[in-house]
Amino acid sequence: MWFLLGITFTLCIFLAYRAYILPEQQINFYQTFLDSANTSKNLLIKERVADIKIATATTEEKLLSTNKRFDDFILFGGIIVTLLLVISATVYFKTESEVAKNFDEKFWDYEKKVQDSVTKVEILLNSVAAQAEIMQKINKRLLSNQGRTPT
Amino acid sequence: MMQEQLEKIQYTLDDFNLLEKRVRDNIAKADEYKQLDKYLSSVTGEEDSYILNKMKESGILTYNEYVLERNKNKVDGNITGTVLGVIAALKRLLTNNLF
Repeated sequence: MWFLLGITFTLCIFLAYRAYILPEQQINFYQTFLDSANTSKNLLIKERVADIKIATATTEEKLLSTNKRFDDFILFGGIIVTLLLVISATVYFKTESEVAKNFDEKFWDYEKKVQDSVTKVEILLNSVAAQAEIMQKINKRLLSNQGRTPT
Repeated sequence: MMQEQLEKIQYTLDDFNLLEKRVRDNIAKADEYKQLDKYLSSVTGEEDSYILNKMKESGILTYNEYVLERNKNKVDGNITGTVLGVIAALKRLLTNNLF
């Protein structure tokens, strides 16, 4: 997500440079050149100036058109990125709330299951302990009946 | 009279199996626990009631109180485990599978 945001941000800076700073520099350069050439009395130069003006106008139009496409791209890209961010945030918060809700609902069930398991283990342990103790007592009694000392 | 009846009682393997199920399913009565305890005392030759002593360790003073507590679904692993252990040990004694 941050990677995409970084790319978008870099692209924005690049396009802003192309759209506002670079054309102004180019226009200034052409304007100075055309102003100096326009004062010339040579017909050939004037024709060339006219050609250059037409070419410049065409290039400017192309540039503007391209910039508008890039603007569209940025606009829709921005909308898509924003939507993705909103969707991600929504999914995150929804999941969090769902998990919390589910946990609250099922907590006592799980607690009961754990408690039942604990009781079962407790029963088994005490059963083994009682068995061992009683066997020992019976063994002791049997040996004393036989007149032997228990080991 | 009652004392004599309790001392005379004899268990078979089937009785122990049935009693074990009754204890597990929580339908054994206070008299059954009492009889088992007496039988155990007669087997071990000790005068102390082994099961009752375990009950007292858990704060339960009589067999009836234990049955009452179990009916309230408060299964005490300590006492129930002891009773089941006693039954298992006596079953082993009956089947000569002591050691």
